[in-house]
Order: sequence, then structure tokens, then C-alpha cells
Amino acid sequence: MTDTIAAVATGLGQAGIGIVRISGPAAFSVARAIFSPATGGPLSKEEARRARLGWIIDGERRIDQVLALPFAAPASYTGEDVVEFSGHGGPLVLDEILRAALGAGARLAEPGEFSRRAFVNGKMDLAQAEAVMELIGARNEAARRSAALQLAGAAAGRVADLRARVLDLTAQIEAALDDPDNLEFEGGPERAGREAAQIRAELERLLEHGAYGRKIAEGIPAAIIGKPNAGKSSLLNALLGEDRAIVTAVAGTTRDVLTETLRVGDIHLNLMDTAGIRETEDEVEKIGVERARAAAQGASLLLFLADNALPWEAEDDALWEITRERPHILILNKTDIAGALTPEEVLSRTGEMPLPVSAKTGEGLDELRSRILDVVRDTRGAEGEEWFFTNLRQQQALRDAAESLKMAEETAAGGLTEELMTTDLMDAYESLGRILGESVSDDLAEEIFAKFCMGK
Amino acid sequence: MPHRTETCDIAVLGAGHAGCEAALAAARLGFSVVLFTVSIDAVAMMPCNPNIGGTSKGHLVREVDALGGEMGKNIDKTFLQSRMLNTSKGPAVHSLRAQADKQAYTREMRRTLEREPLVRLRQAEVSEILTENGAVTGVRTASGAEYTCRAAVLCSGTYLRSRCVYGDVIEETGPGGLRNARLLTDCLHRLGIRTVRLKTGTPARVDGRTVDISRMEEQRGDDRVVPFSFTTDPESVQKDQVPCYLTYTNEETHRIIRENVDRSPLFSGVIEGKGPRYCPSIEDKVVRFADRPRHQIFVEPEGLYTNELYLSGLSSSLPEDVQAAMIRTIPGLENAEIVRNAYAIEYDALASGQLRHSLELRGVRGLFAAGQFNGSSGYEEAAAQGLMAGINAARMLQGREPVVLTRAQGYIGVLIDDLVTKELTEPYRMMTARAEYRLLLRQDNADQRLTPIGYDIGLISESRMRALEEKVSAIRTEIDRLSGTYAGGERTAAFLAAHGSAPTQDGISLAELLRRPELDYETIAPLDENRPLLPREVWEEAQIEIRYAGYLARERAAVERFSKVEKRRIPPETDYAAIRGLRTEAAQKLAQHRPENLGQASRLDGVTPADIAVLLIYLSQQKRRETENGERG
Repeated sequence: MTDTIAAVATGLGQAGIGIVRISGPAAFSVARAIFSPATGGPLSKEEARRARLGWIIDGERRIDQVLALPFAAPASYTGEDVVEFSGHGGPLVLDEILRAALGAGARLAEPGEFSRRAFVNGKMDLAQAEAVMELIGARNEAARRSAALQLAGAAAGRVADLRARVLDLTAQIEAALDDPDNLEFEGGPERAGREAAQIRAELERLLEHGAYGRKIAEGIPAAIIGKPNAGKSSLLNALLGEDRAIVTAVAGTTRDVLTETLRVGDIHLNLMDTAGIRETEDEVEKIGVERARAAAQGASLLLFLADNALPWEAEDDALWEITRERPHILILNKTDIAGALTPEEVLSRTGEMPLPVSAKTGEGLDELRSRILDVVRDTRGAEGEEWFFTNLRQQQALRDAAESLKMAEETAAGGLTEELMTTDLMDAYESLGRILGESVSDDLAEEIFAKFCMGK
Repeated sequence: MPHRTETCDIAVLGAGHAGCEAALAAARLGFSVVLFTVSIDAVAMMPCNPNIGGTSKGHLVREVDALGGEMGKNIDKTFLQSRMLNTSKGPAVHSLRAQADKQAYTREMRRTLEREPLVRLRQAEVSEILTENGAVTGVRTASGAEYTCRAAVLCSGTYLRSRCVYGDVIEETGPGGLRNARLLTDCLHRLGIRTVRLKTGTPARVDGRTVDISRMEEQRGDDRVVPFSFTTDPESVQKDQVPCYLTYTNEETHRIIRENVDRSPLFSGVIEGKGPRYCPSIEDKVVRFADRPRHQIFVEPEGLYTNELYLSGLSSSLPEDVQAAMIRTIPGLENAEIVRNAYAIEYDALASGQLRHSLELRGVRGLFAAGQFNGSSGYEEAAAQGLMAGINAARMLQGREPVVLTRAQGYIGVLIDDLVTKELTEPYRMMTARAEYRLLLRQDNADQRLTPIGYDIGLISESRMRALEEKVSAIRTEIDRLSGTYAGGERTAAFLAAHGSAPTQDGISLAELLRRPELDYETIAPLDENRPLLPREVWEEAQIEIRYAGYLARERAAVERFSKVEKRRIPPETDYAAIRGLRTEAAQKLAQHRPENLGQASRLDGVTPADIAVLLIYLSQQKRRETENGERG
């Protein structure tokens, strides 16, 4: 037996409209208990997919005027009986509607439970279900786009292509093993190993995209590198200043440091709060190259601050050494004052032209934002593909597949014959199938019969 | 009115490759058997290709032999040529295939049956399976004779309501013009058994005197023949072999086929049955693989008793005149005269979802089925099922649990599991690709895998079992010796250099050397001075175990994991329709097939991993509920 669940189905926060969804065998009885239609009889399955105007009531009290939209199983999002109430979007109102539903016998849905039910009831495939869950949790526009594309099957299509190549290779080998009188696997294990390596290279590219996608969803770790008093905190504040509303301080997951979340365009930067960024500490504390190095280690983007107020020093060289090999933006700060350092001198020291910025006047900040976006986008690959395997399970499946292909390559490299490779190839096939929620069943035999002219 | 009542323990209906194995196994386990056939001269007949074995099928024959079946012994006595296939590949895909003298094969099997005291052969068409309370009690023949029995094994092959078709000619016969069995299907339907129509085909046979073999490539057997049966003395099978010949179709052949393909009964709709894609007719190949300029045709002897030649690769159901015309476009066959036409044959077979893993049919207690009736194709697949059905019919009468081989134990396990759990849309053929653990399921170790099981069943003699134990222990000893014997010094360095093998710093064990692809047991002999004299099958096994140790270990670990899910039992009374979250299609498939465990459920067509996840959750809930109830109770 399944129980009936309810939750606010739209995002939290202020919005014009919000939806409370009730799903499960008792969806209609729960909905009838809290919904008083403006006209006509109570909600019924016979009138599924017809919007009805009415009030959500709690006993005698009217909570909100809503549109009720009923769906009868299996023709609904979850495949169960579903009633959705579109109410007026404030969190308090939606919360009250939800409470009323819970009071009438529904249970609060766990995160993603609607999608899980939809998946279990065969309304969507695994990749779609996961994409929906990510969509729900998407923290920003870029992650939303990635999730939306995944839902549309772009990622699934790419995996399906690679999976088909694995199957094709396996079928070629197996067909020849099965009918040696008529078929030969030309090129032998060397060719099989080569093809496995090619497919693996593509998988690894997907994994890199995945790593990037994860950053998009969770925020890109970044750090500002510079001498004390180079203006790190003023730059941070300047960048944050215009968008204070979305600043959140969250505990870092891998290191016990605080990070400031900074939105730039459609991405998040998680700026690590290293020594020097918050200069509330002891003034005598030196930045310490080691601490900068540690910060740089965990960051995908470094903002290097040269200080216009001081000449280029040995400390700058040491910090630049840490920065130069990593994705970075070279900034010359404090351009509002007559400086000790010219852009040309920074160029001669570093080989790069710095971006002039004044945290104080705001000069160059827009350019900095757009440079941040450029650098982040550069790390995602040349073709500008916009889908990612952000979810750990998907990434694990990709890694498993790559690992299996590697084993097949090693078999070939070890001078063994191709029949020993097909187990690994089919393992890779199965791993990729996990992303799509597909089983292997008889695919190999089907492929062999479909593509090869078997003799006898 | 019924007359002449005979009594037996087990009735076997059909004396093809399945029926013969079933009858012999049951009789050897101590049960009296009546073996019915519509044509007593066609016992263990080979109506299609004149060979036994082949890729994966050779494995099946080895396994049948390892369990105490007859097929391997019979072909060892009657083969004309033998080859080990895929020897350029690893041992997992080596397969034996032998050309048979068809009549000698039939004669030899009949002799074996007639020597078995508990087997009685009867030429009769069984028209009725008699039951009481849903259990088999006897059979009745078309002529009205009744036989009482406690179990029956249905091995009707391609004979049930069969008809042979080519062009617009329809012959209401079994294969090769033999009479068919028309009456039993109605009885099966009355018993609630559903059937489907399947189709297969065979090529023409030509008169050897009209064939010019000088225009073809000769195909010889192996210099040293490996016997099928583990009990056959290898020396006894070293003999003069008969060659086969290879020729090819060409554009002209294909043109004739294309121009006449509309005269095929497949196009006119005369044939309803589903044919196998892995054994396509030549017209199928020409249409589906239009870019292929030629197809291979193997010309194989039907036996020493005849000059008839089998044209392997030319299955067809085209009209007689087209067959003759296309054959004569082929080099060496320009003047060939057809002795028997190619034809397609349609027959009644069991619809999917009605078999248990014991090969007993659901719904009729004591009725077992084996062979092509179950939807398989091939002599070897039939023999394997016949053996298991015979064993399990006997065990039912012994009151013992059926023997069900797993997919990790043998190709037989894979074959039967597939037949039981898959939705068959065409005749099923064994392939090595279907075996998940084929590195473990080699033809060379079938005895190690299955002879102990055959011994427990009672089909393997004490002496054969002891011999196997000695062999296994000799293999172990040799593995240990090779692992503990080291080579080194200048002689080894010179040896390695001479064989293009990497030099070693210190001493290296012989086992290590065997792992190098460029070396093997025979080549390293000069470095192995104290090597004992061992039978080839012993050192070969040792070499395989050493050389593929890593792969074998991985596969054994996979078997271990598989067994855990596999063994999760599903209660037979499970009401799938009531399991929330299970898709309707999956619930229907599960209800129809009633898998005994999660492993079987996962292999059902139409059941997805998500369904298995739901099922797993359900089983866990049930278990928790039972525990709670138990605590309360």
C-alpha cells in the first residue's frame, strides 16, 4: 500500500503563484476535505483535468482562493491520483494550504518523492527522474539549463550513442566468435583495444563536463590572492555590494572555512574566506605563502590582486607563482589613486596584461564579472556543450564504464585475445545503461542477429 | 475402446535427440520407459545439418556427456571429420564440431536404446496425454492403445502439425517427408497448454556425382581429433577423415533469388511461423545484406552410405525451379542435381511462460517437455534439455528435488533459464555470448563442473567419478609445481631471448612464464627439467588456470555476487497485481512466469531494473512484516 503525499511543488520564496500537490490513492478524499468549490459538486475523478475555482478551507476558516486541477491515475505526473492547488504564491499561504492537506490525512512528501513515484510508476526514465530532482534543487540558472537539457534527453542521447558504440564493437567480436566459418573480427584485439580507448576518451570528456556541471550546481570554488592590504576585502565587498540579497554564508564541505557566495551572471562563486580576505585578524599576521597555496589548491578560479599602492615585491612573485598555472584573472586594484605600479610593469613581471579595477569607484567591476564568466566557461570545453552529469550516481556510472573499457584495453595490451574483452565491454555497456535506467537483457544477441549475416 | 494396456513409469513422446537422452537418463536411473516415435527408423535423426557441435553447441554436448548423457559418445562413434573451432582465440570459446554419418548416428543411437533393458521403443503416434486431478496418468495412441505412466516427457521436435513448404508446394509432413504428428496439439490445448507456430528451414541436398569438387576449397579436419566424450579414448578417434568443401554464391545467384523472391511462401503469407534470424535462408541473406557480393556455401557429406551432399548456407523455401537455377550458378555446382529440395518447416511449439526450470510444464503435474517443442533449435540444445527432463521426471518419481543447473554452472543452465524466462519470438539457439561466465564454462572443464553432479544424480559410475577426482588433483598438483618451480640463469636468459620474451632480473616461476602470451607449456619444456609425464588434458587445464587466473578470479567473484541476488526467493503465492509501484506490464509478466527468485525475475523480458528494485523493496517489507508477526505471535 502506498500512502498519499503532499508538498509545495513550486520553489520557496515570493512568487505570483504557488502549487501544492497531493498525490496518492487518497488524493481526492484529502482534496475534497479541504476544497470548497465556488460552483458545482465536489472534485471527482470523472472530471479529471478540469480546473475548478474554489476556496481552501480549514473548518470554517477560508485560507486562500485557489484553482484546483485534478488528475486521475495513471494519467498524471506521478502516475497516481493527483490534485494540484494553485494558490497565491506567498510561502505563508502555501504553507497553510499544505498544513490543511496534511491535516486531512496526507503525509508530507520527502524531497523528490513525486519524481520517485513518477519513476516507479513508469512515467519517466531514471535519467529524467534524476534530472527533475536536480531541476528542483537547481541553485541557479546555469544548473537549471543543464537539468532542463538533461530532461530533454540531450545527455541521455550522448550516453546512448556511446553505449551503442560499445554494443556494436562487442557484437562484432561475438558474431565472429559465434560463426567463425563466415565471419572474422578484422584487426583482432589491437583494433578492439583501440576502439575501446576511443570510447573511453569520450567518456572521460563527459566526466570532465560532469565535474564542471557539479561546480555550476554547487558553486565554483574561488579565492582572491594578494598581499595584505591589496584590497581583497574591498573588492569582495564591491562585488557583493550590488547583490547583497543573495549572499549566504555556508560552511565549506571539504574544509572548515567559511565561504561567501557571490553570484556573477548565471553562476555562483564560492569565495573562500582565506586569511587576508577578512582582515579582522591580527594586523601583524602575514599572509603566508603557504595559506595562499592552500586556498589556491581548493579553488577553480583565482583572482590575483596586484596593489597599485605599492611596488611589485618579492611576495607578489611568490603569490604569482601559485596563481599562474591555474585558471585566474590578474587584477590591478586601486586604479583610483596615482599608483606605484603601472599595468605595463605588471605585464613585464607576469607576462599578462592586468585588468584595471577600482573597488572603491567601481571602475572595471563589470569587466571583471564578464572576465570571470569567460574563464569559467573556458574550463567547460571548446564546444560549449551545455549539459553535464552533475549527479554522483551518473558520474559513478560513467567512471565504472571507463574503468571497464580500460580493463578491456589492458587485455589487448597484454597480448590476449578479444573474447576476453567482451565481458568488460558488456560491463561498460551495463554501466552506461544504469544512467538511462535500461537493462542489458538480450541486447547483444539482438544486435548480432540484426547486424550480422550468420551462416549455417 | 482402449485396448492393450502397457505399463511404464515414464512415457517419452518422440525419439529425436531430446527423447533419446530423456529415455536413456530415466531408464538408467531405474525407471521403465516407453519411447514413442512416429518413425522408428528415424531415431535420433538429423534432418538438417550433418554435424554435431559447433560454437557453444560443442559446449552443450560436452556438458551432456559430463552429466552422463549419450550424445558425445554417439558422435565419437560415428563422426566423419572433426574440428576444434576458434583455436586462434582463448580456451573459453574453443568449440568442437564433428561431421556425422547420419545413418550411422541413427543406427548407433538405436542400438544403445535397444541395449538399455528398461527402454521399450514403440512406433506409434500419441494422440492423448491422460491426466487425473491435473497429473499425468498415461498416454493413448492414435490407434487406441493405452499406456499407464506416472510422468511423460514431450519431445515432439518439429513434428506437431508440421508442414514443409517451398514455393507454392505445401507438404503436410514432418521433416524429410516423414509422417508428422497431427493429433496431440488438440489434447495439449485441452490441458490448457498454449502453443505457437515456429518455423525453421533446411537447404537442398545434391547428388555428389554431379558436383565438381575441383572447383571448391577443401576443408579438412584437425590433424589430431579431440573426442567429445570424456570417456572416449582419444586414440580411438584418430582416423581417416572425410573432407568438406567451400564454395561461394555470386551476383548471378543473387540476381536469380531477387527476381524470384516474390515466389517465396514467406511473401505470399503461406508461412505464419517465426523463423530464426541466426539461420537465415539464402533469400533472407540476399535481401537483408544486399551489399554482400557473395555468401559462403559449405558442401558437406551426409554420410558414407550415400553420395548426397548438404549445401550449408543455402536454406531456402523458394520454388523447386528457382532452387535448381540458383544452385547451378555456384562454382562446382554448375551441373548439380538436387536429390531433395530445400524447404521451410512450420510446427507447433510451446508458447513462452509455461515451463518450470525443471522442464515440467506448469499446470500439468508430471508432464515434462524438452527440445524444439520448447522453442529451441538444434540437436545439441534438444539433447541437453532431453537429458535434464529425463533426469527430473525420474527425480519426481523418486520424490527428490529437481536438478536445476544455474547460469554459473553450465551452458545447460543458461539454455534452460533462457527458455523459461525469455519471451521467445523465434527458435532459440545457444551462443557463447549468452553465457555470462563463459570463461568458467569452458568445454574443456565440463567434467570438472558437472560430473560430480551427474554422480550425485546417479548417471556417473563410481570409477568415472574416481577418475575425475584423480584428474582434478593432478591438475592442482601441477599448478602448484609450476608456481613453485623457478627458472633463471644464463640458459633461461638465452631461452627468453630466443623466444622474443622479456628478460628477467632474478629467477622467475614457470607459472609466471606461462602468463606470457608468447610462451606456453610446451615451449617452456627446456626450462622444466623435472616435468612429470602428464596427460594433455591435465597440463592444459593447469595452463589455463595459471594463464587466465586474474580473469577467472574476477568471474568467480561475479558469480558470487550473482548468486546473492539470484537466490533471493519470491514466494510462489506472491500477488504481483497488489504490489504498488510495479508497472502493469511487469506485474503481468511476473504473474505469468512466476519466477522462483529475483535472479529469474530480473531476466524476464519486460521487467526493468526499476521493477526489480520495487520487487526487492516489497520482499524486504514482507520479510519485516513476517518477523514482526513472528515476534507478536
